[in-house]
Amino acid sequence: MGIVLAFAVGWVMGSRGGRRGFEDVVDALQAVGESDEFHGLLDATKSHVGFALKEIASQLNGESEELPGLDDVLARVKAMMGRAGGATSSAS
Amino acid sequence: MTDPAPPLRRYTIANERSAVLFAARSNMGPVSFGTTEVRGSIDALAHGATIDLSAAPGARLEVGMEPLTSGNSLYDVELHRRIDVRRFPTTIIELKGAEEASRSRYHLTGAVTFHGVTRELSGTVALSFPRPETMSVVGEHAFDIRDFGVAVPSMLLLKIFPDVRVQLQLEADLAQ
Repeated sequence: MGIVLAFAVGWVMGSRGGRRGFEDVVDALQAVGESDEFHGLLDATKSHVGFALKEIASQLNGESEELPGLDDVLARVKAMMGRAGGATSSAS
Repeated sequence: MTDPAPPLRRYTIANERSAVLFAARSNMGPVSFGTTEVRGSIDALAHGATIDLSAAPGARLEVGMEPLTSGNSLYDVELHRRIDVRRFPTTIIELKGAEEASRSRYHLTGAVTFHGVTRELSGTVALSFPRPETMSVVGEHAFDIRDFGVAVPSMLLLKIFPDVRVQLQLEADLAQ
């Protein structure tokens, strides 16, 4: 959304500021697109959407959304820790 | 003159066989965070498969908040930020009282210190002895994270609701 807004603002400024002003805006957008912060936001969004889609898929498949039985808490937590370890190693 | 109560015996938490799960709801579905970082001990007088309450049992548990994970590093970062794990790395549970609810079930009262805030909570646990020198405790309790001064976490499109259920599965071995 922010990118679209920035593009629109850039477009308007470009049309008012002439070709030079427009090129400055394009350069600024490219700098934003190449920044670590922007890539961080993209990675976070991908992770969030991926997790949400997996949850939705689980629900569509009718997989249990209930909490584990109290005797299964340890197994559930260890599975979560395994996923976190996998995510860490795949990210590194 | 009555005989003095026999001394309590100490059971040390086996953290490789113990875990705590915090189960929350979000607008995207359930989100759970768990840890096996549980330390502490339970002082009690076992009598067969039950606890002799003539000697008041005690317990102190420490749950490490830093290893708390959902399996999704993005959610973990947000949770750790909200509960400020750097300032409050440990949640402490201290048993204050115990009453027998039914056979092998006990109604417990205790003080919980989470996020630097101490509240008195009560709930029921089931207790058993899977082996003669090993005590097993399982229980569940629901609370509102705002009672402990934690703001409701939200990020991108995800919003986590404040009511959280805590599930506890512990095993403790008789100290030598």
